[in-house]
Amino acid sequence: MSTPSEYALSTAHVSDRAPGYDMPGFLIDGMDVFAVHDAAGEAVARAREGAGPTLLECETYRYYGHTVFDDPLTYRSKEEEDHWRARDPNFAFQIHGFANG
Amino acid sequence: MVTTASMITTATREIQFREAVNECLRQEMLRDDSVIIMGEEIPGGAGREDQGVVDAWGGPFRTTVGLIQEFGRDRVLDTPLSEAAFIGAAIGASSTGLRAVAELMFVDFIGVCMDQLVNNAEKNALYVWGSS
Repeated sequence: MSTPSEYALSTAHVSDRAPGYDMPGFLIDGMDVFAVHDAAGEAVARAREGAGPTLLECETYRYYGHTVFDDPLTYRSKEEEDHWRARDPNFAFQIHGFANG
Repeated sequence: MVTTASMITTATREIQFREAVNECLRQEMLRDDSVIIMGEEIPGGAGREDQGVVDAWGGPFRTTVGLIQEFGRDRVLDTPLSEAAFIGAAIGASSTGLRAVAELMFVDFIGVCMDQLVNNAEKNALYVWGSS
């Protein structure tokens, strides 16, 4: 909840741990609908070919508190929230829809 | 036993259970330098001190709030979110002479550290010293 992943993880990303399980791991922009769709499609295709699992780490953000009891601004900045909100996938997907008919 | 200002509790007082836990932890940490406390988000916001974050949470029931300011990061430790890891670390710390208090947020999580509790905490004493 208030523990940043960079404090709690020994590796930069969870996906870095995939090689230890002898499977591919990919870091995906979880705010990008198309990137997630493509990566998931490839992972499913691999699995169906019998090539085993794939670890997908789709980076995204929890805008609100962990529960209704915590105020996120006690442990993170408004700028950080705004940075992620500006990349909201719903909003970006609408823009893409308008731009591409 | 050394008496400190925070131990003046002879008069009857009514406080919440979590306040009593907090007060007890503070008293024991004042009394004995080897008492440390560790767990998930017990001060909270670890690693963000440079952003002015101190004691962001104080545990889910606020039983550890205020301890970091008084006793510092060496004795009040935010741990990674792994019960197995920090219960194991607390058992290791205890076996070297520290009095480690590990806060498990909710009892539901105790199952994930059964290996540490049963195979390390309980059996190590028997393996090493012949009694628990």
